[in-house]
Amino acid sequence: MNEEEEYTINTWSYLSLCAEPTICEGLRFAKDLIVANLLLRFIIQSISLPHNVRHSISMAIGTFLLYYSIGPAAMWTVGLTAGSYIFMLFLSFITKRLRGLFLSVMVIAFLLLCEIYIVNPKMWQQIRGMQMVAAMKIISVAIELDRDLFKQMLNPVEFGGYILCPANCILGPWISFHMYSTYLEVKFLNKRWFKIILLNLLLAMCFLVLSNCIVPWYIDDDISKWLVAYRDAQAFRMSHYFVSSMSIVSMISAGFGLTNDCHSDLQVTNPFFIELPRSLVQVVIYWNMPMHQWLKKYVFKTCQVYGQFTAILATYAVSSFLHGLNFQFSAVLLSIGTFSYVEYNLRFKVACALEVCCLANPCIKQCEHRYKKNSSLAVFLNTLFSLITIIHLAYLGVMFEASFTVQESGYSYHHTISKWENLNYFSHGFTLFMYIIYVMM
Amino acid sequence: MKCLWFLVLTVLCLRCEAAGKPRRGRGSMWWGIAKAGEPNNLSPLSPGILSMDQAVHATLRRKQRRLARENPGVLAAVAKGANMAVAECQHQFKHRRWNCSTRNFLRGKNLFGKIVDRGCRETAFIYAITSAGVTHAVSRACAEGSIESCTCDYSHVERAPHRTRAAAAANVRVWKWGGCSDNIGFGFHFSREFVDTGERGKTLREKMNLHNNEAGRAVLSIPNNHISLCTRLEALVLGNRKIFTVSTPHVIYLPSLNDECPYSMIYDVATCGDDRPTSSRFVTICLIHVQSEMRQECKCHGMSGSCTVKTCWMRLPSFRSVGDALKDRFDGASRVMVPNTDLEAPAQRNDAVPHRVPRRDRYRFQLRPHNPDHKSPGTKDLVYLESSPGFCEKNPRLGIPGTHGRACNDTSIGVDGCDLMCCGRGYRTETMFVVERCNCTFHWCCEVKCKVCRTEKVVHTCL
Repeated sequence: MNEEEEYTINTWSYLSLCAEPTICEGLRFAKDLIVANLLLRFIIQSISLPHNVRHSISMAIGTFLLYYSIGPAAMWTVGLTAGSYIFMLFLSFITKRLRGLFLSVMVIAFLLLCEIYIVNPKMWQQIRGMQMVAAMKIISVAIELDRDLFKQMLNPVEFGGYILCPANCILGPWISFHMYSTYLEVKFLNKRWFKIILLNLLLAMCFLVLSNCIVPWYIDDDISKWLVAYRDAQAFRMSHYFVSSMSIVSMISAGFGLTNDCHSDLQVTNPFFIELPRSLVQVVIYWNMPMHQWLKKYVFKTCQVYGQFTAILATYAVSSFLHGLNFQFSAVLLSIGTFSYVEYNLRFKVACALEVCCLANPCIKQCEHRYKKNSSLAVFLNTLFSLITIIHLAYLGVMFEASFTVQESGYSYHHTISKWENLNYFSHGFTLFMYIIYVMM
Repeated sequence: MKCLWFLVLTVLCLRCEAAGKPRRGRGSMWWGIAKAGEPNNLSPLSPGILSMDQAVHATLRRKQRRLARENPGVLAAVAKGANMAVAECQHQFKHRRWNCSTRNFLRGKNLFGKIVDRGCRETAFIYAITSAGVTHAVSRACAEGSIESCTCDYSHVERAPHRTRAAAAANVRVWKWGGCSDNIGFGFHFSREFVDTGERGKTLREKMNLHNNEAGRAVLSIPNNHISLCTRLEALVLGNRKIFTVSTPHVIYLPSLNDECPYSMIYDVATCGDDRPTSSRFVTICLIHVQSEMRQECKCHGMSGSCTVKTCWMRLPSFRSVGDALKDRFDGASRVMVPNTDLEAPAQRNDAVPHRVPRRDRYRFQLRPHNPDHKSPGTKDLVYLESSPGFCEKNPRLGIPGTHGRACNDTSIGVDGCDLMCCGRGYRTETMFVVERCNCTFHWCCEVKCKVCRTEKVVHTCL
């Protein structure tokens, strides 16, 4: 009995030794974000300023925040912004239709060149997220210009304020230029505002502690490799929820993403739909909703004229290139694409054949199948598909568990392959099996 | 009447022995604190009850009692440290003839028995591991907040701007640690005060104890980052000594001397044995970051696996690493003797210096190796004075129980093998059923449930 008691004490002291510094660091990071954004909000709120001055304040605070949190590496983001604006101006003289395409190619090429030739891997891992958000914003502006959604060409201050806005230049989420400039005008705030910030901050800290301390600890290393894979993948997902809630904190503290009655209408991710997934398709949608919207709006819709398959391929290519030229991301994204494609089609066939409500996406209003979503057959099939999705998620997420040096300087080809080899390429094999069933059905 | 005579004789004999051979274990009676909680089944973790315990106080010297009074809660940590040390010692020596057995706690008797009276390797290990145990437990207790007079070590935070500047020069970004870490500085100082109380450093044996206590503490702070930062610090020149203030997790390393000073808050180079003339107000020193036994782990967070935010935390490794390190030192311990002209040289030098700290003097001695061809022992080496007695046969005079009845391994050719363990007396082989816990499972949260299994085992015991 004595030993068991000691075990308990050790467990809790382990948790406190992990949680305290973790929260400390999380809050320190949050502090910079919140202070910069509150400053922006208070300036906008208290002084009535002309349009361009507001944008330039946003740009100035954003640049300072970037510099403060990542040091001289912030120059890469600022440089990308300036360079792409000049390139966009130049393109505007030549063409009015293909600015989106050219600018996308240029931005992606720039990111890839940065990764391969210029930036050292450590620094690249540090600024990759910010570069991605900036690239998404730049491409969206260019495509909207092509679609004539702006009255006139953006001036440099507007463009810079949008790209370097402190609310989302570090952790995202992506928002469109129109949303950005509306939010910058908004002036209704009350006590609820602080409450929303604190609530989201609390949520972020919970996810951070879960990711660092609790999830890695609650399953032992020597149980089974699938449980360990599930644990590691879950720790990674928790880290993603932390980043997402933190991005909401930064948006809200700048007063962005609030409705007229001061409620938050921002949603970046949905942990419930990912932890208890209906299908892989749903996971892809809810993983990062703004990014999903962006891909759908600017890549998929733009390429749809060239055919469904081309559009899907282009979407995959763009999202993969945005993540950089990394084997792991390309492999994971390609696998997700294949798995969800097979799953989607198989479920469609099963739903038609058995007349069950078990599509990858839930039927919107009322389903026309004979067995509704509450029928036992539907529940059984959906649970089965959920379980398969959970296994897929463990298989895909296990990649991101790595020693700190690997995390810090990027994942290698061998790292990815060894992780999957350890799990016997199970999900790939299983998807092939599902595909064969699908073809035979 | 005969009985009475016998009693008187016995008492007289004991007295003779006590007078003829001064009790070595004077400074080490506090080890008894490890067993203090047992007879009345008090929890050693409740400081209130423990500090009241008469039996505990009887084992402590006056100064130790004062320290316990001044630092409420520290006794529980000391008890925990002593227990940890005993358990670790028994683990390290479980396959050897001397297995670090302890006796039941009795007033006036030493916990480890009379072996402590001999200045042999085993004694050296006991001193080192108990001193390390106390330092470890007290440092940890500070971080956990169970000692009122000390807190977490936040010195890393204060150091942050300085480090960042140094890091900027080296073009690397240094992670700033903001959390609470083990207060090794407090643990170190407390251990020196508490553990070394009885050892004034006058006799050879006391010097040996002091050296081994220091070695135990030094092992706790093995620098494993090597030199992290070499800087020129402006030294405060006092007399002809330079005094630095060094933040606690650092060890001063003098490049020219290849000798590391152990851990301290304020260090003067003279203590490290630097006799060079101080013509300049600057001196180059290297600070070695001491990773106390805690290991730092980090993780990246950011959009899709990037590393925008780094968070780090501390992870507890066991006291085992300390035990392993000390066991290595045990195997390579050096036999020493003291040079005749020992304390004189440093004492003379210090007389000229107005601000001297007398207590430090007792640590300032150089032990000479027994074999003049050998190197003199370093700070972290264990030292002993006499060869170990044979542990084969029962020897009540030295408190050795012998290896009769000890379990041994018939296939091993090492010390745990039956040939060596039983000292050639032969062994008995029995088959018996052993009841043990098995199929243990971990239940949320936080208990371990086990089944009881009966397994057949072949046991060899020494005759």
